[in-house]
Amino acid sequence: MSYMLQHLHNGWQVDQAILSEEDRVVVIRFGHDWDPTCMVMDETLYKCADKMKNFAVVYLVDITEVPDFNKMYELYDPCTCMFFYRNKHIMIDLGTGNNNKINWSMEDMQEFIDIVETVYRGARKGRGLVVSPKDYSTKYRY
Amino acid sequence: MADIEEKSDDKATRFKEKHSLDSDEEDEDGKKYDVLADDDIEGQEEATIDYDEDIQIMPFNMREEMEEGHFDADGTYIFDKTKEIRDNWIDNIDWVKVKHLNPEASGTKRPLEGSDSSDDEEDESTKNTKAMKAYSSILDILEKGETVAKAIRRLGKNKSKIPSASQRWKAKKKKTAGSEATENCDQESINKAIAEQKQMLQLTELCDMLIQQGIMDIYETPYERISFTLKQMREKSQNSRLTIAEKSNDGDLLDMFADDFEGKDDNKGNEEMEKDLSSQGDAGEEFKKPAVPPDGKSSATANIEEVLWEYKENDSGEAKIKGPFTTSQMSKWSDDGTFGPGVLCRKYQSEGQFYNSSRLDFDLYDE
Repeated sequence: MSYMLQHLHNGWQVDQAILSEEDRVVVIRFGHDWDPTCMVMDETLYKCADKMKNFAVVYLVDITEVPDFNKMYELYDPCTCMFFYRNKHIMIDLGTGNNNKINWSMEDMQEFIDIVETVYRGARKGRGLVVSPKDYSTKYRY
Repeated sequence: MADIEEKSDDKATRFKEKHSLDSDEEDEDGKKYDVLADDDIEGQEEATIDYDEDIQIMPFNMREEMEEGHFDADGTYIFDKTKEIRDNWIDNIDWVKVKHLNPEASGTKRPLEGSDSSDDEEDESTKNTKAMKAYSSILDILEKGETVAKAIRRLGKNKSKIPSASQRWKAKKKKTAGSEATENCDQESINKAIAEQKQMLQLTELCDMLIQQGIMDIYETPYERISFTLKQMREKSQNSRLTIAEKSNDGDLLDMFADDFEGKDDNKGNEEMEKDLSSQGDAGEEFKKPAVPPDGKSSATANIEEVLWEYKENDSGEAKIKGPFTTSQMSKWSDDGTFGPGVLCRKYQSEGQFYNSSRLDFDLYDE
């Protein structure tokens, strides 16, 4: 329910957001504003956005309003976070087996900032895949 | 759990193929050319007899050829030499590292590594001295509070006073005609304009050189900023000369540098750092801070300055936090196995949570 983070309302806007950002990571949250998982994630994103403004920019996309990417990015989780740098999707080894996205909601601000910073530093060095500082594989055990 | 992993692995591969935002990958999955279908080769005939007495008869078709090659859509025959021409060394290339070394990949700034050859170092230092010279000559031309662009405008505004070749010729003709009085007072302003134009040319030349070195905003840089960077560069080059002297152990020869003592302190700090490592003891608190001031900023800002780290060996409450250490030091330790299965580390003074060093890629923090 964040009205402060910018929403993207169509596929063209999403493409442009990813394309036009020259030296920052583009973080896109795909989901629904009314979804409880997204609400938690948006809260974290909102709090982080200002701290990350030097190296990342955050956008929100409603996957019902903009279904263009649902198939391409396999967006069927309630909340999906993906990272792009200079028109390239950056993968993160989160330990979950899915390196493409964060498909749960994160509550720890610093943790998320650390991930984005790792993505940023990795992407700037030309890596397409970075390793997240924390292993999230244990998440599913509970 | 296993089910989830399997599923998502599968997902990951499909994902990559379908990923259309990455233009590089699009090239790969799009076919480069079409293979010509067998039926499109016209005029083929079935084989009849193999031999007519002693003479071998080749059937009038392409079957034999098609076994060891194929036609592309343009009708060019291509041998399938995949088995013969195969360089095993290609398999051994670590593409991540190749990209890492590529200067373009990391923007204009090339990652400076400790292992840089002396050739590169020399290159760097000559480049630096060149830049320093350029900066100081720009400062000579600029006035206080003026940007380069403004200076160019100032120097260029009298350009119209400089007589063109034809004007001079006319003037000469006049002179011979005998009107010398007005000529002399004009001459002075003309000379001044010519000098200014020379300065302007010099200035643009210098700026051009700096831009080629990657300093793109030189035209917008004001006088004060240039003098500040120049000062910084001078200090830096002096320091680096110092460390070279220290390395070669003939510091006495170069004692003329006033801040030699600082350099020595630095060295001492490094030695202690190593001592701390070898003993794995509690020398942590005695550790002298390295010359680089630790940045008090939170880890949130991706700062360009060097990142410092602290670590503890386990998660128990009494484990001592050691540090700060430089990124290159941490990277060395994690590479040579000093950390064993991994220690818990975080950025110095970040107050964030500790991460296992095995998951941290210290190379990323090396500028």
